Amino acid sequence: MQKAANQILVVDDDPAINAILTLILEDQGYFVTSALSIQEAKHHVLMNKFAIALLDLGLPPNEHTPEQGFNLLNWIRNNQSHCHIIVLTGQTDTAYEAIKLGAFDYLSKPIDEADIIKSIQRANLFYQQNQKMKQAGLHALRLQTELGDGVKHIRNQAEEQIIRQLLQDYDFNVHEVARKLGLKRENIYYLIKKYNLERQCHHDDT
Amino acid sequence: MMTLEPNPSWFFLLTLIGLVILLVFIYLRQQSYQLSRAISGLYKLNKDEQQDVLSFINQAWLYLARSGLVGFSAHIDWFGTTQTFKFGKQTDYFDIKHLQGNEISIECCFYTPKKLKGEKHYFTELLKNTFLQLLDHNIQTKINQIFTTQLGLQKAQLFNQHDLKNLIQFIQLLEGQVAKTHSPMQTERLIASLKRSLPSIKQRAERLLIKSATQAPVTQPIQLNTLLDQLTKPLFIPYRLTGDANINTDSAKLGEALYNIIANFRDHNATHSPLQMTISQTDQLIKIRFEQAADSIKTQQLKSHAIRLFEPFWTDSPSGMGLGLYMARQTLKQQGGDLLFIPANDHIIFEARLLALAPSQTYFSESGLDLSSTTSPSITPASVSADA
Repeated sequence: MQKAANQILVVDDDPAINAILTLILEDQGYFVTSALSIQEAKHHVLMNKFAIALLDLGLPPNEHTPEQGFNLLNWIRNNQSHCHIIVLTGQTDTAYEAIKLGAFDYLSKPIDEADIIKSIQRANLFYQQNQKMKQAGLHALRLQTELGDGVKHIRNQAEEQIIRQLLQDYDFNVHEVARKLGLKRENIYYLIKKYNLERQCHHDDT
Repeated sequence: MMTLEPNPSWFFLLTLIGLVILLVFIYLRQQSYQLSRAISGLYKLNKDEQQDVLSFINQAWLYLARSGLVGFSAHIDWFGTTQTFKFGKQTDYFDIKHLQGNEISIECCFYTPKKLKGEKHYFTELLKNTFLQLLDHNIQTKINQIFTTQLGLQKAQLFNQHDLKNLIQFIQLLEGQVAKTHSPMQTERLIASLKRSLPSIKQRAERLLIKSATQAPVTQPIQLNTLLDQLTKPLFIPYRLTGDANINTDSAKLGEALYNIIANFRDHNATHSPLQMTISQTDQLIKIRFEQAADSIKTQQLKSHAIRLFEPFWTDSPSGMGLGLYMARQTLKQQGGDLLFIPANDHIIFEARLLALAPSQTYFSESGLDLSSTTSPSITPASVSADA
């Protein structure tokens, strides 16, 4: 896997938009990988690390509804939690759901090039600072919970996220994750089982 | 013990009773025959008027009058416009029924000469109920038609908006890029990018134009291999194209029909397997076979829905209008051809059939060429393959 810094994944089923976005971002000095479908996007996510993903919500087979885009957004969040996802879409009334699922920014088509670049720069800044924090041993978590569910539920969510993040960061090296958290390997295996965490293989198309 | 002696007056009485029973029987038989004819008449009228609510009400009196009714009126609120129909005469004995559905409201009033009793009451009620049930059914049909059309239009509008937004977005971003291009290297990169992206933009714009405008057909000679290649390339799906044939027809219409078939494979069969398109020709019949590997669940689904695949507005996808295959088949049929789904276990197969007409002939054909005949394909050597 390559380092994520300056790596951007552009997901748009429209080849023309995809190509022009790639051109714009490459001009800004980013390394761009483009995907025209969900399958392609998942394949790239499993093969490379990305700092930012620029994601269109309307993707085949249902390019006129946002569901496929939401599913992919959620999937990327689960598989590359450090990746900042910017939604760039022509779908209306989708901002709430996109932000709820963890989108970093929400851009509505049609939008100026300058606004896209600003958003990308902001996301890159956040990515870089997050990486610095990680190097300093600090991990930022994003929790979304119903307060009525109680503290235990929030604790479990935090636990799941931190384990998930570390497993991704250390390429599912349980020994390293255990060392980092000061736990025994058995504890990590227990948590993997508890939260049903699985390593995604690059041939997985689901 | 008392014994009954035969008496001539008894014989007369029994004969009288028998006669009365016979007369009642004849009367009831006549009445039920009349009722049956009136009910059949209502059904036939409804069918002839294609379940149109207003026409049905306007002509139903002819049949309603055959029961004990002497008058009928209907006060109709039809999408905000009111109208009253009156037939026969109005009396002090009436029965009012209300029918309501969405923006349609109908108040029916049935008049009788007096308060009906016995068999007259039952026969009249039966006819009234049949009439009201047919009317209610027609109202529901009308509402469903409107609902389906509205849904279809909303979807079409949404799809067009989506296409337009992408077009505007592309132009907006391109404008910025063109303004910034100064060095030859930048120009070269921009042109390389445009070469890749313009075919799909052109295709999108053409689709929008075809959707929004009715154009006069332009008949021209078309090389099918080239047309299919042009249609498939911008979709960025792996495909293989073998064989070739020439046809003289409206290229925009044929292109739209073939695009719908190919796009259907892209949108509804998530696979990395290439789409195999084979063109073959025997005499005047051209066949284009579209074939792609698919998992057994998908092929089973298609088999079970085979009868509905070409039904307008039927779709199992929230993003589709359910018109692609229907319109593709209609277009091909207009050109004397057809589109068939061929069930298979591990492949999805559609076959487009076209008539190869001489340039002097018109492209519309009601011809009697047997399109159902199966012939061995004679594939020409031309072959194109692409794995995008």
